[in-house]
Amino acid sequence: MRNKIFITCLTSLMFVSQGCKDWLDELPINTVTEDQAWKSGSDAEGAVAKAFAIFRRALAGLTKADTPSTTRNGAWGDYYFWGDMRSGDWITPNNDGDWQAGFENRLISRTELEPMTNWRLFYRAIEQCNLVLENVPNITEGFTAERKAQLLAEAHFMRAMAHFYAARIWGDIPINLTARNVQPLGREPLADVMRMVVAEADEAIAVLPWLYDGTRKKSTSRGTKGAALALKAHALMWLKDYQGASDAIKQIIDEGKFSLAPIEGFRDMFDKGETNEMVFQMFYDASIGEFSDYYGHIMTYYLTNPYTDRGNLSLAVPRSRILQIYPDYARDQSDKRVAEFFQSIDFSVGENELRPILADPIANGERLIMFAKFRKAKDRTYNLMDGPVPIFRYAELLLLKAEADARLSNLNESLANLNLVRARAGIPLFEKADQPLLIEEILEERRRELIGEFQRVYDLVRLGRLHEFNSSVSEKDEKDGAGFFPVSDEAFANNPNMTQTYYWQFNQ
Amino acid sequence: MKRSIIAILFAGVVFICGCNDDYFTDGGLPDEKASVLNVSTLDYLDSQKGQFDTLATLIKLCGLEAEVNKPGNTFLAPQNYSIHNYFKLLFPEDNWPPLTALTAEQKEEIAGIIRNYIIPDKQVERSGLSPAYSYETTRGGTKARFNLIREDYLENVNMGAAYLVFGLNVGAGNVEQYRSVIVVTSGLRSTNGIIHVLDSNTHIFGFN
Repeated sequence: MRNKIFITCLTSLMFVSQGCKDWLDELPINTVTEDQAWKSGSDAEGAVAKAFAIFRRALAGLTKADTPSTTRNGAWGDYYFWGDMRSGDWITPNNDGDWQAGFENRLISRTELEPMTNWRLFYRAIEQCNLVLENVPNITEGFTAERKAQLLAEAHFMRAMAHFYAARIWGDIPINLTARNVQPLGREPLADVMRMVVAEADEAIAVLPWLYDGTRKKSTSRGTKGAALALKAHALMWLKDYQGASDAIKQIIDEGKFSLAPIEGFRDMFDKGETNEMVFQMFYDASIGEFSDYYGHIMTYYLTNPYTDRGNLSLAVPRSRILQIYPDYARDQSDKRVAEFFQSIDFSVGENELRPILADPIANGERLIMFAKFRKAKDRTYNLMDGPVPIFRYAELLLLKAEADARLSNLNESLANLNLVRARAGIPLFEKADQPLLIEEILEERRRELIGEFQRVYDLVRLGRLHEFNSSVSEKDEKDGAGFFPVSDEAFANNPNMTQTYYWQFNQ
Repeated sequence: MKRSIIAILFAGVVFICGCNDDYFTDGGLPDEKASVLNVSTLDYLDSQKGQFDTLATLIKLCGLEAEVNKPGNTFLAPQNYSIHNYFKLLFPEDNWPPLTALTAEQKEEIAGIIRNYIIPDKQVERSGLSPAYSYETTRGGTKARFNLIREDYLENVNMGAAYLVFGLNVGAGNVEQYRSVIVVTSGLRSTNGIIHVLDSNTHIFGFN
């Protein structure tokens, strides 16, 4: 017995004396803490790349992994729902209730749409940039001074970009330019946000190079001078500073690094993002493991067999609307974009075979034409996608400049740029030098060229004309802010300064 | 010892009761007579107000009762929602007239469309179809195409539901171009023929 007590005591003593060695406090070498995260140039590279990665995820949309307040498992490709869904051009052929509610601007009525009202990931991207701008100036080793300046400029660019994108969606938004901000920020007027975006873009433009080494796609997925100028031009359009916007895009044109891809090059552009036309895009490349996992790309919803294993269309542009948007195609099939953007699939072939693509892109009926502008799936699994998400491209900027010039009464200049885009599409040049007609035609050309490319609703909201194209939004609704998305409940938590958009206060 | 006896007894009970065949029991195949309607095609359409009352009204307005009810034919029934979408296409401003106020021309056009949903003197049945196409001619003289497609079920190829697909030639001149629609309810037997109900989500009256 005494022996037992003795051994027990001895054992416990051994545990007490040996158990708490300091080596247990050692951090695993792969743990990153704040005070060791900002040491070298490669830390800075990683931190800036991360800001772009968060922004890409912000565009794809919020998931359950991002916040417990959402129930959605995968991202949906929210950039489509923000920028295209409510344009009045889309239908849901399988009558999906969530989509239909979205088309009709009933954005709060469905819990499945709720994650789209949450701007959390945009502010996470902004915070990442703020941290970079706070810490990277103190890093001295591991990169050249020039590279350091470029990385800081990229952080300025991305911070402006995230604010700009969120402002187009929500209108007035908080401006956050300090790292680790814990103050409850209120929403600033849209014009103030856009002025801040212009100022930040200017800082970036001064430093950023036109292109980086490497492929075109990699280069245009990061902050470049072209992307920052395009961002500045877009922000100035919202501020109605048409001269400024026109000048910014003129710099891009004069540099000559970008050009319109031929129609035959559209697959390179919309499948691979590998083209001189892309100015800023989100990077996807399945060959190096960068694909949109678990939905995340809007292609999931409009592609079917033969591209994916889906049997039916969930989002589509109806046939009559295609003929209305592309009158030249309706007349003599001259608009080459129709065959690039739309396809008819033989739905009388079973799901387990590859359905043939019909020669005539609009051979199918009203509700059965597939939107196929982006059609590069990773494989036939329906939720893994590999297509780029363009944000700015050259044709879009030419049309934006055409609009700015038309509003400045530089009609010849405007016509020239409009007709560059029209000539590529193979449709007759527009020659009526009449300002209101021309502005209207440019808006229609943007609709044709950029269909399903996450621009249309922003164009309409910027011009206050969403109500003309979406019958669920009245003119008064739009004046009250119906064109913008409502602010999510999460943004109101612990923030007495947060306010809901006027329209959405009464349309919950 | 006592414990092992209890354990053995328990295992025995599990073995005896665990594999009851009743577990797999389902309703079995539907009654052969379930699809027999015992009314004429038009009377059936009339009785299903939620699905077909617009179609029945149009048939009567166009005076096609006899053609729809002709013995031995096949009728492919478009649902109300398909007809709703048809009028929405004709009148994008939502200002369509009441059905009774349709002009003679409009009625003529609608009659032409309805005739293309009738396969005269031929009962098209699932049992006679395969994934390969077979062709018939509609009452309106247009070429119609039928085939059967089978879906996958939980990634088991060809183990899912089999659908009858109806296609109609909408091509101009000698060019044949088919638009297709799946049948959502097939093989309803009226006193004069057979009825297949068409999918209403994607199909628009008149194959628009």
